[in-house]
Amino acid sequence: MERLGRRWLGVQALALLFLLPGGLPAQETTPPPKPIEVPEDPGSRPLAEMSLEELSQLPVTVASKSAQPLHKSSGIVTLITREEIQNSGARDLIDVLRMVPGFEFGLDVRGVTSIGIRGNWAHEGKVLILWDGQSLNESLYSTIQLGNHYPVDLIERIEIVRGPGSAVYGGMAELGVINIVSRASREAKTALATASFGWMAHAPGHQNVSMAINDRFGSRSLDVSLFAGSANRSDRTMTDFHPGNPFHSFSMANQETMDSFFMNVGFRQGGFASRLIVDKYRMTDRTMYGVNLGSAPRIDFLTTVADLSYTLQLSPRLRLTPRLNYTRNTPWRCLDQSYRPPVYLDKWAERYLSSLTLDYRASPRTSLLSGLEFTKDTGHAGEKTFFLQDPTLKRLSYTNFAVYLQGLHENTLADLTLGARFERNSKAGNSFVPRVVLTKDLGVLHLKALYSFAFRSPGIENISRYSSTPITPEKTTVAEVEAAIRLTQQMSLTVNLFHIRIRDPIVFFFDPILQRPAYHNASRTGTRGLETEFRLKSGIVYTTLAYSYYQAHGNQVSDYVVTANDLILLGFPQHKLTGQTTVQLPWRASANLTATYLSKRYAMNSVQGIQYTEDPLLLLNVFLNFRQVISSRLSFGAGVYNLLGAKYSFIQPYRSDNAPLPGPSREFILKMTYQYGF
Amino acid sequence: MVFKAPARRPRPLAPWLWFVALFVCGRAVVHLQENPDRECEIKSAYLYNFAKFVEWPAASFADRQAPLVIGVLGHGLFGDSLERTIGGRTVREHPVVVRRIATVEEAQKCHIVFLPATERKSTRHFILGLGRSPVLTVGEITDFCRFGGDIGFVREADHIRFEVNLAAAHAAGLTLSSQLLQVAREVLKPGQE
Repeated sequence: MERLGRRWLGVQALALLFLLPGGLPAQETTPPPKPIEVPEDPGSRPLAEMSLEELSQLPVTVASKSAQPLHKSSGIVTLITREEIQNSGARDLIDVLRMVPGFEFGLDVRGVTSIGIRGNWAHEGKVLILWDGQSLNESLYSTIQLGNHYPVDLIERIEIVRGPGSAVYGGMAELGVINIVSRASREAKTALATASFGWMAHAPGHQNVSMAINDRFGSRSLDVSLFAGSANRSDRTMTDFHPGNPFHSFSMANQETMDSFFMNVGFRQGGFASRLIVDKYRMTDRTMYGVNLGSAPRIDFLTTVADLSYTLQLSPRLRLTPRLNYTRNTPWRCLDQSYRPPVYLDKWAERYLSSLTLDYRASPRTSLLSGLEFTKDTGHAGEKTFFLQDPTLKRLSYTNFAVYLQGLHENTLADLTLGARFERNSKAGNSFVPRVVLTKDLGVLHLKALYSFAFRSPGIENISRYSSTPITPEKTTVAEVEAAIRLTQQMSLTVNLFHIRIRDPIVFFFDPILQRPAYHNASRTGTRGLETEFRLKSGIVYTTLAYSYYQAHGNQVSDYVVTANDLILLGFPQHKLTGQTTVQLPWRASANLTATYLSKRYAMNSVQGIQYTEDPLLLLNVFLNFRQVISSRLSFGAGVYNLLGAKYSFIQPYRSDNAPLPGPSREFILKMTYQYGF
Repeated sequence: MVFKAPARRPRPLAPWLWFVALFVCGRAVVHLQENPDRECEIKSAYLYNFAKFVEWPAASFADRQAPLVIGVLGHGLFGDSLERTIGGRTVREHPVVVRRIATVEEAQKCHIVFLPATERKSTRHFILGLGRSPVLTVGEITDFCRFGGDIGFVREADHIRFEVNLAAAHAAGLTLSSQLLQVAREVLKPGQE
């Protein structure tokens, strides 16, 4: 408690700093938006000559590297807006992404929680997370860590591709892309400060402050975002699988913590854009690899990204964007050597990336996007660590060269997108991933059919920690179809089917021969299923209902198998139902209800060789927003997360030794937002 | 046991060379264009379209060639975008003129007044101040129409749409074309505002 108290004093001091006047604006470093669904070439036809109907169809920004309206975009896409996040009172990115069909969460080791997509564990290199165009996956293991990590109150919108994105985005976008656009990069001449305070019964919950500001000086713009926060994972009791362990059970209050600092600065002048992101995430964890420790060592994840790009508008139809990027990751860092078994880990990675993107609108109906990328990854080992089982090997480097091309052609029969990416990794070998997408707009009905190859490029530690044979990229094929129908002006329904086949999946396991954690390419795995979403927006009520279902298909990875039920994989529920309803109330207030139902989940107690289940549960949250209270700049929110006190736990979606990690219990939340336009 | 790190090798520069060369050459030979703020430009084009589908009382114009004045509150970038997008154009023989305004009195001399989100603190003051003056108010803040504004921009997914407060426009003596109302995402009729 004392530790959290000290942290909280720091958070309060930062909050005061944030409320001081000052500061400046920004934009993404991705190339500027390029409209596709335009009746005529916008490069040759001024916007002022377009009709109201044409203007209403113009996309404003880039959903992927090529801008398209959602219903015509070449992917199965979920868009989450700032309003939906604010209405829900979401505490962190887990709360936001939990509302996405097919997304659920699982436990890795060392108390790290992350994401699964459509029944597949996507934590390590299978989903790419972008913040204002910058990749935040670390490059040692390619993981992302969720749980009070990123500043959810500073998000303008999230564009989520719930399917493969490798053809354009490369080897970390095998099963999905989470593209986050910050408020500071989008809102000109605005200053914003937010604070949130959460309490569980026996410990503080999510307690965060953030600020964002942007300004313009002639043709220059600058944006700055800052975030600091602290949270307890839970105040429940954690029990491991080792009854003889003196620390078999312990209260997680002030033991399993998640502290975060995030800084994001962007500058733009004309075609020049730059961005700097510093992301520091610190956890304390006693669960480590399954045997609870007597105290909680610190684990640090530090990411620094610096990015420069210059967009050259060579002609109204042709745009060229060279880009330089430097990323340094120090993930999973733990320098405490006093523990047995050892938890020490001291490695970091650097990535140099240079790329060239060519955006060409060949005709009013045909556009091309192509690019070259050259990447050099280097892993560095600290004094007591090394690579490839060689105590003298302190560096491990490889290069990656990629070329990609994607073309879109619109015609009366259907719109056709064809794309492919070829990637040559100097350590892991070659990958070639083509894709084809057909979309058809029939007015009230929109149809899509997609067939994509994708791949996961092994990270530095995947390559270093191979078992018997060197690691190669895992290869995936995904078939998807989607139908979206506008039932009325206020109601729409979307249904999609998917079929995922993953060959040579890179699987983490404990090698009994080497007696250490290792990776190997297993045989194959995959899932198939459906997702459906219903939206109602009328007057004062806005409702979204979503259902998702998967079943295992062709899985031959024993680490994922559920005994006596080959239609489900470890870790993730087959059925998931989510709902969010917002009702506008008088006096600029609104009431929001979010609910998530998860069916039974399975996990494995590898220590005792016993399979166990997590019962179905309902997570229910209510949140009230009061906008422009006292002052037009001030808004308040209050609510309860996990109102029913459901005992949700994060479980491992593969055979390993970690017991279920309890999630937050009932948490009362207060939020405050101060926004100032100047 | 202490492991000695191997001597640092110089980082390869070759990957960057082609980039630098391209950057320098590109800058030398290409006439660079400013990156447009697309959202501002789309909204500017909307304003021009609104002007085409709204009828003002005859007394609002001194003569057939009198300018149609669009006032923009504040000194943000929107005014620049508006001038760039629709400057020099005409609506029914009226040349379109863009003016930056700061007071309600100045707004009353306009035909359209645009109230950007950056001026949210003044939005309500201007709506109330304009009252029943024949001035079309267009705004960006959430629920602009429910505050009594005439047309409010709304961000819907990746598109800019708009809502119309028909009662407020009628009260100001403005006639809105059915073509405009058909494209509106929502039309607030009397009793709904």
